[in-house]
Amino acid sequence: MSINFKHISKAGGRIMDRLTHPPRGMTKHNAKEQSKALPEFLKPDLPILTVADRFKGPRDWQFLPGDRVVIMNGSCRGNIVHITKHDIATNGFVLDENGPTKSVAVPKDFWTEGQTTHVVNLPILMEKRDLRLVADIEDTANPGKMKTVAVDHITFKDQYYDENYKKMMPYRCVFGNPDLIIPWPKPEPIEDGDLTTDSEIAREQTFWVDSIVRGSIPDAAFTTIRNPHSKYRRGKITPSDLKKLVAPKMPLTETKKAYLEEQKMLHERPKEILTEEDKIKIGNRVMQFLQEKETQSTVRQ
Amino acid sequence: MSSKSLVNKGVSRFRPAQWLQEKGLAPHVYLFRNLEKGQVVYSQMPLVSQRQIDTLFVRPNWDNKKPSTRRDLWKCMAVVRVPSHSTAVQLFQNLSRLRYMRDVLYARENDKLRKKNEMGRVWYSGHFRPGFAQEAVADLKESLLKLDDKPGEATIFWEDPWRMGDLEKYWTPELPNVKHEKIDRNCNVSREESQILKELAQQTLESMNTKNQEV
Amino acid sequence: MIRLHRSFSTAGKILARTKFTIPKPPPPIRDNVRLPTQITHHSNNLKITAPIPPTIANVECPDDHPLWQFFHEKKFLRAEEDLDMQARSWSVPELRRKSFDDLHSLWYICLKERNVLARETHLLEVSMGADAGPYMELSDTIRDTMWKIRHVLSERDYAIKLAQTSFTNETKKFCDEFVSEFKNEVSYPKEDPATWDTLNRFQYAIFGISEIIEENIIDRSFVDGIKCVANIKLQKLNTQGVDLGTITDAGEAFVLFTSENNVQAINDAIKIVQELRTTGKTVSRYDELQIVQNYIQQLTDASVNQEQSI
Repeated sequence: MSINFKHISKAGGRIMDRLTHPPRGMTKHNAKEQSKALPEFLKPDLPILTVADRFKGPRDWQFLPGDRVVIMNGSCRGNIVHITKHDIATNGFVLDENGPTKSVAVPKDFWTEGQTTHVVNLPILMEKRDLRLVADIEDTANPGKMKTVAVDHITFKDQYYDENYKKMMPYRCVFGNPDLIIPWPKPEPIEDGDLTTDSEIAREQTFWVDSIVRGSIPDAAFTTIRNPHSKYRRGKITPSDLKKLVAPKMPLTETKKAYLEEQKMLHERPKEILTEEDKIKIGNRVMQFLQEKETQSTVRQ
Repeated sequence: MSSKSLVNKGVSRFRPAQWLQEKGLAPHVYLFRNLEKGQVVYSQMPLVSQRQIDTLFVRPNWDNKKPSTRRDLWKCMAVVRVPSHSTAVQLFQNLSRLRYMRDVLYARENDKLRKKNEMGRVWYSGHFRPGFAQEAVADLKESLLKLDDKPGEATIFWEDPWRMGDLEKYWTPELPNVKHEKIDRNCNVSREESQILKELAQQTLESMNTKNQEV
Repeated sequence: MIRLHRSFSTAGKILARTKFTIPKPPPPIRDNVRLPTQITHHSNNLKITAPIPPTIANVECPDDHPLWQFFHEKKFLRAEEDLDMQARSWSVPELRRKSFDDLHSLWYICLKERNVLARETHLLEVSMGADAGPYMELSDTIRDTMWKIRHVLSERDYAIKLAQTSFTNETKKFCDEFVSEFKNEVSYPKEDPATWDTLNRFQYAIFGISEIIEENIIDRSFVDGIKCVANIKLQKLNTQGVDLGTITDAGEAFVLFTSENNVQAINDAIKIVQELRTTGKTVSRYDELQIVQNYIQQLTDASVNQEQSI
């Protein structure tokens, strides 16, 4: 009986992590294996990306579910469609029925409710580069009227608190025209879950400092707030810590030892200084040489 | 000290009704369950001894190994209170006989009655075989039915009513007079077990005395 | 009658019993016959029967059983869709606004929820061999809240310790400022209860003297506080112009400190102080803590007795 205890112990988690964060050399191989393992109807149209390569937020995605976009490539080129969903694993966009679709055979186990045939139409995932945002802006030629345009390039500036998304969002602008802000689509409202706390209760302040002498925390709580024996707080280095901190002495080869000895000997050798006597000796030698050269030249002439 | 002298002879021997009466013991039969293996020992006294185990497990095998006398592993599963000491003795004899029949005389028939796992073995988990306790419950019902004197007049104190089985299906149609009660669990049941059994015995003796006085 | 005479071959014959000899008469019936002690026997019509399986129908689980706390709304297992995956953990700035009691309750709420999730995770991973990923994710989200609670409390403790060390030098200055401000009859009128609330807040903030007697810890700052408050009250309420000087004796300070906040009570207290001075009853600085402790104990006992008599 094999039992998975990963919910209790992290032992061996390092090896399991290799599956989700494979080394770079393994990614291609893994993708190949994965595509072999997946049945045709579950195979994504785009390659599955590593966690690091996936889009992080609205700045990366640029289009959020609910946005209108125009398709630039493929069979449905020129169609204006709505984005229904993001596919997080592939950085892909799932489009509505006006987008490109493919027919796949689905086994009966995976049939949805009301399905009567094996063959279903599934939307094809689209990449960001094949889509352009469609927005309604004021027509400068006909004041008071709106015109629909496709935005070639989007930039972001600043950020503001978005009431719909309940978080800070950047302003989405047209490149080269930062005053033209294209608002984010309104998301479908999310219902409060079981773990929700009312915002008013969450923001209510109940802690006030009213004494400099007495803290508000009972003494008995401190043993569970901080570890009193934490090695990061005790300020002492134990022998085992020291052993980890000090690098071991590497053994030297014989050649290296001889080289070091030679270097040491050379280093200790007294530095020879040119004395006046030496200088005169050298001078005399040079003079002698020059004189010899001169006499030779006169003899030749 | 030899190991023999450690045997509690008072507990381990078979005791006739008169002896039990003379010693002031209640007309009870105790069923002890082994927590490790699930086997059941029938006892006339609120204890388990080696001699009882020896007589009740005559054909030990891979599935039914002889249990040890470790006291922490034996837990009282049920106490049966009957009207008289002789009935108690006969109930004990019936239970012991049924055990012998299951293990020796009708071992094959018994094996057919047992629940099997998908591999065809007796249903188990490690050392534990839940079937033994269920067989003991069935035997208890059978032996109460076949008592000579006032069959089916008894009170069973269950440690856990869960183990009793479906009351409407198994007990009431055949033994409508048997009363089922629950041993009080508002204490540390494993630590206070001897005290609980002692109190139960006392209650039985008191009720017997009052009945005798009324007569 | 058997004739007994010497013989070789006939004696045996004569002595021997044969079936023709008259049998011995049976012994007479005894009246003290010992009956067999064991008279019962197992029944002869016993049959082995099928085992009786246990049933859960016999077990009644009360609604307030403590183990229900490990279940979400008494469900054996929540569906993955029922998990609140939209939830986020509490942030540190949000938690900083909450009192210790709130954080303490929140901690236990988190712990209970994680218990439920741990049970479900174990069930899925071990018994069903399924993937409990979302359950563990949610548990980790809640765990974040829990470490953040610990972080906030730890931070709060460091803050007060740092404040204590840096404030010790300024305590004297702050007290002097307060005393001079408190004298002002316009901003702090004697009859206004808000004035005395201010004094209460001041004594709790600087010396940690709580209004509830039992809560107090008698230490140096408490005794210093008593003296300071006694002097403030004396300055504010001494209308008769009796000059007691600055109160430095703990006994005198205690009398003034415990008196009611009105002129009449302070005048009575002044009289007691004067009596003390005439009788020469003083408290040594070395015994102050112990003696104040005794006074407080007496006060507590008296209040307890009063409550009991009511």
